Amino acid sequence: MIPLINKFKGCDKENPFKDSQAKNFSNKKLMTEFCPTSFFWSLFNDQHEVLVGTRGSGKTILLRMMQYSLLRHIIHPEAKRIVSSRRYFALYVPTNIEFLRTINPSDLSYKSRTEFFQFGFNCFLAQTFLTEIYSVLQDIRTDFIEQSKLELSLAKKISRMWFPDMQPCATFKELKFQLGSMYHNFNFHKETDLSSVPLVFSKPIGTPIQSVSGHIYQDLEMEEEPKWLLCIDEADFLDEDHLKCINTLFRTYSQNIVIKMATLPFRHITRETSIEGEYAEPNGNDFNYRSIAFQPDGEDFKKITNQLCENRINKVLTGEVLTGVSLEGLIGFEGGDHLIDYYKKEIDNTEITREEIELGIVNQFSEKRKSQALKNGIGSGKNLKPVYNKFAPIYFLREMYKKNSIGANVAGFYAGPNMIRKVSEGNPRIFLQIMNQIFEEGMKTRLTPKKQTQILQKYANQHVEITERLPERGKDLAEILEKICSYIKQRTHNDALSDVGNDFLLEENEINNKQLVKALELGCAYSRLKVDENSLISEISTKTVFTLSNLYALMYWIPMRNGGNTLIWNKEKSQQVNVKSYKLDNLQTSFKFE
Amino acid sequence: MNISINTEIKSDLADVSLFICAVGFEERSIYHFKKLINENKITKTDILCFSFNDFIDEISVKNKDILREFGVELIDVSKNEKDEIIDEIKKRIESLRCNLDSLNIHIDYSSMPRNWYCNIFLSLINILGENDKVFYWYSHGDYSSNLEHCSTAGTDDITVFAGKASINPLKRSHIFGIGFDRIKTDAIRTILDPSTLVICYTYPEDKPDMNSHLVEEHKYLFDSAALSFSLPIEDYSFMVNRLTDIALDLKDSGDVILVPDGPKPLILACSIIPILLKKEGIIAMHIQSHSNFKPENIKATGKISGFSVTRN
Repeated sequence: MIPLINKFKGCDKENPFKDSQAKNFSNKKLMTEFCPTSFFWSLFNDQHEVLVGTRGSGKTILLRMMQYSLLRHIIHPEAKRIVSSRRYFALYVPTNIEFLRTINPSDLSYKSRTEFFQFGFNCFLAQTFLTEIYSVLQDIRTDFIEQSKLELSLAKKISRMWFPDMQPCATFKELKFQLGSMYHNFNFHKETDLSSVPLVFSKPIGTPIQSVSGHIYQDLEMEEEPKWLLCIDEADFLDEDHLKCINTLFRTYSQNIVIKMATLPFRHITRETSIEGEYAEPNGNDFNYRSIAFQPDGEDFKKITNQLCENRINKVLTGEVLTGVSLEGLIGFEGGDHLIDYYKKEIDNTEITREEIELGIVNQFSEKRKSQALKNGIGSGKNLKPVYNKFAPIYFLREMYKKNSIGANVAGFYAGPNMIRKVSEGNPRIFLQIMNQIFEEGMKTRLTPKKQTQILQKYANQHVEITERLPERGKDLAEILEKICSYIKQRTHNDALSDVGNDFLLEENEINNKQLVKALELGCAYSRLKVDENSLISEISTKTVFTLSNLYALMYWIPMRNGGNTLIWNKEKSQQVNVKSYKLDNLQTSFKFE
Repeated sequence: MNISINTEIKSDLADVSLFICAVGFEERSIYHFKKLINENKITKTDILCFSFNDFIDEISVKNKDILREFGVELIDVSKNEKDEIIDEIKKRIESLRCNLDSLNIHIDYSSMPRNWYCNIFLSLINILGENDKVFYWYSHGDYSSNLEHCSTAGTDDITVFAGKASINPLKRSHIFGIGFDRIKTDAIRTILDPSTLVICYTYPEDKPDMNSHLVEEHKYLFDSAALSFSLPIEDYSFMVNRLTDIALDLKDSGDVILVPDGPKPLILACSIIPILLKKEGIIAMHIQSHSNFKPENIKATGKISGFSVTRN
């Protein structure tokens, strides 16, 4: 099969994979790009939830798409059910930093900070609320006159609640103007309290919605008062005082307000509430943490990446619409798109047998392991799992690295749809950024496995290079990862073939090293490291298994798999028995094996 | 208040009512002062000089000694105490007003922290008399050869200097002013995660190689930018006008967030755009020095650029 990308050779159109951020996407583009998953549908529930995901993992698109105004355009039975039941209404509130710093200038007292935050947040929320219920209104009243009558009635009710001292508004537009005017005329630098604003906006977040919800739901033809899902995006910018306001809502009776808050890993920095000594409890007590990470090899990520390819490709096509586009169809693949297929292609021997590969593996074993494997018999059933299946990926990697290290050789090993998804780490933005480079090259030349390897290596190189420039602890993180990767690389390629992995643990006394832990948390937020889900949503501990990202693995030619022997990051106990000491330049760091 | 900003070419001042400067850990901090005092353009009584009490090193001690030798009285201020210096300046201006109908205030902001010179600008436009003129002078420094001073940034370092964010903007565009501190710029970029990124930068016209140096230094940033443009550091009013045009263009589709770094004239120009335009949704953010900030001795190149501000 000829890869679809060949069709674009010499194409002078703009690379369709250039955009990779949902923040500025128009609603239309957002709807085209969106690919609903079971996780998405599961967000429509009554539980407060903190959604944890790395930068670019798709938090924004999830939260934006939950809005009724967008959801009603999605052709999907579940969307239809949620829209027609009118039981859940999502209100999207991105807490971007310029907004937060506007409503909370520096030097404010704790009291003012909290009050002004609640006020600013409520203004934003009220605007979104009006947009959403206007969509409902349009759905239930198709006749213009009837629509206007209902709008008038609702606008009056709402303005009486929100602006009791003013002439009631006749339209939502007027209400929005009132809101804008109230916000615009409030000087966050000079005011000391909220006495100049209507009471409902100075109360805890969500109050403006709660104040009107019970009075309007029947007009909107709802059987019961709905749940208002406050979708707070970019919550990683919220500081402790802001989070306390939200945690208070988790902890107390929230009267039909349900929070869905998206943040980076380890950025829900406090569970304190505004009431001293009261904490919001996770695990379904007051709220739940949920990881939004996709498995790189999972069906959901496959579906998403294929849909992205289809949408983006159709952007550059004129006069035809292609359906059923997949990443596989777009760039093509070798054999079954497994590592072995690219290995075979690179050694130019598609007929190589399991026995030949197994012999190669065994010959690179330590003497002890070799004699056991030979005793079992090359190609035997006994060797299949513990020798062939287990060690073939590392063997291929070693062989390919050797090939790649000769002069200017490029071993076309890192190629194919599976590999692209794997190094994307289930992160749609990383996927789009890689595809941007793949497509760019695809417009110029044939995307052979060697070419793809070069592209992925270039991308991985950028990814690794930028690590030291990540915020705050970037330099520490870059240093730690460089040392760990160099060590694993040495273990992978210089010693006898063994069960090497890309994961490590922290020694007990390192858990108290705040600088180190912060650096590793940063790595998790920006897709340099992965941790098990439990650690991701709670905290780093000695049980936390850190896995190097596949882009780091690619860059350093180390296996993209967890090893049987987990490295332990340890600076103190290098004298212990079984400790494999590895002196590192400055940190005097050592590793030991479990 | 409407103001007019004009590029000033001559730095050999005449008729100085007040010369305001800051002395600290950079050799350049006394360059302009020395030039003027040696040329008898100013006397010790015309000078209002602030010195940092946060970063005291060998150079700052030496700089202070030189000023004291000339009989200049120094006011020790902490880097974060902008209100204190604004109060001092206002007090001094008020006392000058008793005797003078018009004031020519000259400010050497070459070695001031950004929260000083930007706030000085902000304060002075509000007390500017009809016949007053405020000059801002910048002694160019050589940064390109020393990247060791590069710091980083965190979310807590970000503040809004001017402007007000809209509620629920349609779109957001970020204008990044950049210099040679790639680590800081990339950290800010990672935090702010801009989707429509515009880059502006500036370099002296006699050093065109700095253009390619900057582009090379920020290769990935330039690759991801929707637009990039350079500005002539010597022509301040052009800088401001160009930034104003770009901000207004971008404002049509949503909020515009200016995030300046790089040379001080660029930082100041970006910072004052929301003040000049007075539109909700045009915001200038400041990135404070991170906790790992290390003072660096920047030497003057000998070139001085400036601009003046008058009431319209």
